[in-house]
Amino acid sequence: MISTPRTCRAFRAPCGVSLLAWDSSLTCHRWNYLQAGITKIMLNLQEGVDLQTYMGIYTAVHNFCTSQKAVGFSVTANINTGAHRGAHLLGEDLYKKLQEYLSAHLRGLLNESKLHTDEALLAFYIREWQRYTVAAKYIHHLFRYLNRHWVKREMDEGKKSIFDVYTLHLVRWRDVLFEPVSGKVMGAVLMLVEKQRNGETIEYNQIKQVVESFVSLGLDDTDVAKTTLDVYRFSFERPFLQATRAFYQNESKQFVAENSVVEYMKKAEARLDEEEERVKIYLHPDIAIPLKKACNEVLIAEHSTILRDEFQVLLDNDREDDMKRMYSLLSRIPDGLEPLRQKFENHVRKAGLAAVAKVSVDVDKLEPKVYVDALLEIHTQYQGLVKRAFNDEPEFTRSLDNACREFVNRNEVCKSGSNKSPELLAKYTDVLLRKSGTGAEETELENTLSQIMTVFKYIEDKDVFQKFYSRMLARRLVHSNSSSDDAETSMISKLKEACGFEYTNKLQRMFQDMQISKDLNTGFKEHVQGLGAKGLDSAYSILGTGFWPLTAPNTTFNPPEEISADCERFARFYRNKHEGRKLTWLWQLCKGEIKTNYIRNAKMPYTFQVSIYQMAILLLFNEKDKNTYEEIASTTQLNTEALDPSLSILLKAKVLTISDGDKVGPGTAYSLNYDFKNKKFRVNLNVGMKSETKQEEAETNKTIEEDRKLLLQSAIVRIMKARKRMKHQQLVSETINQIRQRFVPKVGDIKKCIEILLDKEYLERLDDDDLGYLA
Amino acid sequence: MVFLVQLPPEIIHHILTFVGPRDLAALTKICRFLYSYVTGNSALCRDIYYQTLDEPPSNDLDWIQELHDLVRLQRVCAGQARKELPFVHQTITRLLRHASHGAPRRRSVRSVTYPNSRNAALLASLLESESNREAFLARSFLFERARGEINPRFDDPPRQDHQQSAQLHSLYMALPKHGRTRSSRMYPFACSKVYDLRQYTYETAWGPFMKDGSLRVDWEKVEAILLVLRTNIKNKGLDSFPIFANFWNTPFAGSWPRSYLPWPAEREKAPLELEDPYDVSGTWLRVVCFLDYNDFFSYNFPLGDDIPGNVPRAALDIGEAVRLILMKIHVTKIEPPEAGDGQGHPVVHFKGFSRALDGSWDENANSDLRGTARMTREGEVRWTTYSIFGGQDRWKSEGIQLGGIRSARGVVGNWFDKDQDPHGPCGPTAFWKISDREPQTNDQEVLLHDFLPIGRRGTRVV
Amino acid sequence: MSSEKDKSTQKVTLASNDGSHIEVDRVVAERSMLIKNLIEDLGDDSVSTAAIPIPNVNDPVLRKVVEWCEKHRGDSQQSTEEENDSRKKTTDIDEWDQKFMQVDQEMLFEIILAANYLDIKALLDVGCKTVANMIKGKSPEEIRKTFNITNDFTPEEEEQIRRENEWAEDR
Repeated sequence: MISTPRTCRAFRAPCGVSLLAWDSSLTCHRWNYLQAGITKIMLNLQEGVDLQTYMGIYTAVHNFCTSQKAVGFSVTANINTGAHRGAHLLGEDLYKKLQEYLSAHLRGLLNESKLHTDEALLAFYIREWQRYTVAAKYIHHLFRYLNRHWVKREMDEGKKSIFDVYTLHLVRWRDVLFEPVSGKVMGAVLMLVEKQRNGETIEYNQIKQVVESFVSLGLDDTDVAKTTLDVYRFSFERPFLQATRAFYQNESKQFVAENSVVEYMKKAEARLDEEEERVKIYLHPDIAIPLKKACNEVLIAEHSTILRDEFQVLLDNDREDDMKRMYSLLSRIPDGLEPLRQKFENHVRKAGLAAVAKVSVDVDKLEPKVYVDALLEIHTQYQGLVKRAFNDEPEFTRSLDNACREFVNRNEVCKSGSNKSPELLAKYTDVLLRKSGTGAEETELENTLSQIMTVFKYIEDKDVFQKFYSRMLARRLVHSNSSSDDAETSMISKLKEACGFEYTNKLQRMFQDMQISKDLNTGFKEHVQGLGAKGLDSAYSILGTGFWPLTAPNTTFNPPEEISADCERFARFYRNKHEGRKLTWLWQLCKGEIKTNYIRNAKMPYTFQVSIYQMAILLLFNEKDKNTYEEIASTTQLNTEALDPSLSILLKAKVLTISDGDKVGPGTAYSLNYDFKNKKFRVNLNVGMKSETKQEEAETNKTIEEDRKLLLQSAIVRIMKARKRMKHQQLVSETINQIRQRFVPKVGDIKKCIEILLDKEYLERLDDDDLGYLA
Repeated sequence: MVFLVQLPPEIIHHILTFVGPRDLAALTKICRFLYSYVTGNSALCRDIYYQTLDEPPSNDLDWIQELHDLVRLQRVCAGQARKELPFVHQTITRLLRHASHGAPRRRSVRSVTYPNSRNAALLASLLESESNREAFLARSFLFERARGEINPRFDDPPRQDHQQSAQLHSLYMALPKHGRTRSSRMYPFACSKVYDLRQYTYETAWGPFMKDGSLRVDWEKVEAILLVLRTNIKNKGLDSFPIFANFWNTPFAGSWPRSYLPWPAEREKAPLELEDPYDVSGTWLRVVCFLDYNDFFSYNFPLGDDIPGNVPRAALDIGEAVRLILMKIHVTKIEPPEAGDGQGHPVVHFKGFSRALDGSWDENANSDLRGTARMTREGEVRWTTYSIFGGQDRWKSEGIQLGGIRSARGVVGNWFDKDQDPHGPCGPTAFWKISDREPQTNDQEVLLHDFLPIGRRGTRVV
Repeated sequence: MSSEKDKSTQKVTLASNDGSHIEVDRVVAERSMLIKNLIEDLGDDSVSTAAIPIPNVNDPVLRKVVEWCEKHRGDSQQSTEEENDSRKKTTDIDEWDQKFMQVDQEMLFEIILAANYLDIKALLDVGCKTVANMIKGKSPEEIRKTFNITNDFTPEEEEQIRRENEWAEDR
């Protein structure tokens, strides 16, 4: 049957403990034979195993397990005793014997391990681990018959402590050798790692193998098919992380004491990279996250105060690279950046306020461009910083926005009037869009408009901007001195994108009106030609009431014959086209040109560009050379407010001369100046007075306040209509929410509006501080 | 000479795993050795069970008893022992509960959403003969009434044998084509139950539940609903589409717990989906039938109505409308069970929408959806859905999942006005899952992927 | 290390316990998990010169086993994972195997024992199924006859067993 082994080696592991208790079929002789083979595989595998031994051991295991037949089946005397006795499988003894052998072998190794320390122990552990696992695979194969039947049956029956033979090897290793020595092995590992952290070169493959060994031992005792990392985590990760913390705690404390913060940041950065690299080279990926967390805590969080304290210094000195470094370090710890953001926000706000203070020595003379540029410069500077140093992080962008909103709306300039920022911004836009503007390239203009929008975004009182903007747009359109339609449209669409349809609706309508008027004029010209009449070279604009920020003239006016004939013809033409529409002449916006032929010593006849009021005055001098103030007033029907400034300009330009006094007013008389002289042949006399624009501003500001009241009231009514019943306080905050897009309403104003609505009986007071809606 | 009984026990074991359960009895009678080998040999019975039937969900059955019951079931079915209905009911439902769990968890064909099951196949073959079906599947009140065997009076509470037969029939649900219980004969009686408003009460939650408020399933209601839906599906020719035929023409089609096979097989689940034991997220195919409201009203509120409460209304065969609907839902919230629910399973809330699949435009089929899945105290999965129009709930449904949790067979129950209007309307409905969410799916849109399991011919229906 | 090609042409020799040597292709021999593992553990060279002793199998049985392995040399090998699932395989036996198993009972059991020893799962299954088919659907008396087993029950015992088997009663 079985060939006897040729050699019998001296066994290191002792023979089974209780041979007497052994099942008769597994005789000492048989086990001795198996043990000899196993020992050879365990200790001298490098010498090779021959075919006979291999087959011999396998066959011995097989024959043992099937020996029930050989023993012979003794028929039970009675069927009622020992049910399915014959179904019992053999193998338990063999399994136990193997288990004991492994324990003994490992106890031997445990004793031997005590002779070694540190790196020698590490080398010993790895050497024996490798030898053991290779042998385990052999023995697993040789005991396959046991695995196939007895072990399988035990496992099918749910026995938890029975494993296949290979796993049994691992379990024994874990329980007998690993438990007592893993601490010391780990100590050696940590010493090696510390050496490497101190700059020495080490044999890191050893550590890698220790990791692999520890991971292999992660057996799930409840389900052998699964492995867990529990063993590895407890025996490797835990001490490794502890040692790492201790090492860096120590190192960083010392380093910080001897070096600058900036130097420390560089050091910490290098160490963090190094640890990440370490994971890749010889650690298990499972440690990556906890190791990173430990390093972050020790290297960053524990020094976060001194890092943050340095931030202001870095900001003040524009140390962008160092700020970037600080950002990337602090971003690695929870809540690390919030204090930086606060400091950053503060810093930007101060920088913005300082920039405005610098340019606003004389607020009244402040050029819009200078002001807006000052705002933009700060924004651009710090937006760049956010992008380059702070990774364009949304939270930093928010801090930047907060700071900008502060210094755009509440600065030195705004002290004189809170509407100053939107007003100046609108004025600057007007400068850019006017024909007489800088004459900038189209792309450059587009860029500047985008920058305007950057500031616009921060403006809180967007309604103020809208007021000024629409007034100035109207002026540009009526006087057709807009630099380009494209630029105007582009600006309107930008505003629309920012604030929506309602905000730009009127602006767009104004634009449309101008387009329609153009077509209308063409039609009118054809109409006049068709009549064969000789008219003036005239152009009319039809401006829809309600869309334009314009009011009817505040003076009566009797237009000169030449003009009124054409006007009436146009009015008839228009009424024909659009029945029922009422036309109101906005004389104050009308202008024209007059050619002179009375001036002496003129090489060419001068052409005067005049307002219609001035035109009416000058045409009087076709009849006679001298007209009194009273005569002019009665013919033109102009009131003093309109007449006086018109005359003043004519006087100032020396087109007329005054007699019987020196100040425009009753009792004076005016004559044509035949000796008028000017460098240009086209003379623009249609210039507004300084005081006029001032007044306009004041008026604009006044309408803003009134509009706001209406806006608030309509918002309140809208909310109440939807909600029917609301608490007072709730209504106030809801109103603020709805209006905030346009301006920041004062609570007092809202309360006043609520009072007004209560008076008007849109709302009613109910119990419990509630307000109700009255339909 | 080697004798059989002298082989090592592991080999004898291996040999005997290939014999049938019924051979075990013969083996014990041969000799003392084999008697003692086989008697009480749980390991052997387990291996024979695995050789014959599906791998059950749990590893600690009484293997010996299981095999004994299987043999007894086979024996009973060979002799059509009508009196054995309780045993047949108990054994069939248990074998279905233990049906295929170990099979590869992916579909071989897209329209087959459940795995092959030896248990189901074995049970189907046992019930193949008409006599067995008559003996066990056609014994509810409904069938007795159709056969004119009884003076029709509803029993209160329903008779247990009626319920047991109805439950078996509901799980089986492939109608005979011929004979006294063919579908065309049963349909008017089933309609008379399904559209009888008196069956819809507060205590039944207007769903297929007992009228004692216990929320135990009234299997005779389920059976009637299935009969009505089945007849309509057949009349519309829908059962020529695999996704219908696989359920409505196949016995025990996926009528067991966890039979649903996902599609796509491996997808990344959202954290909330992982906690959802009912696996609600995905695309479901739904059938809704309804009577014209005038017909419905005059059936339930006839002039001079003096019919007693325990007498069924007349058979009803006036034709219904059928809607095919695609539902796409996803889990939105998971809460612990409420006091009235079965404990141990959470209440899963879902949201989604439904779209009509038939050509006909019906705004009732295009709505938003919300609902819940929960366990009843009896251990059945109860589904409640609401159809939402313009933010307002309009229709509600109550149903149970045939075969249990995560069954491919899906949900069957009643739809009705969300306020449970005492004037109706109401009707039968069923829905079953056809595919799962794709990882980057859009929960607001029906995509091609959602349709795929319906099959090529199916897409033309859309 | 030998390449795949070497492996397909490599021969190994099996030595039966009664001294005969049978040379077979390595892939054929590797139908036996025992031999497959042996070659894996000891290396290709270990079997290129020396014969593998098969101490539990004699020449006629070994030849029969080799014949089966030759026929099934191309069958896909079961992975260990599928092995666990193999209890779900049907009891059908293909035609060639049925013929192959038409041997006297002693040889049938010897083949089963050899397949079990050599760890040839598929052959063990075929053998066991063949025996199982000799039991299925048979009466106790028929089975006794087939396997030459004596009825060693007392009449009282027979009565007791009959009662115990009422659950399966009707044949």
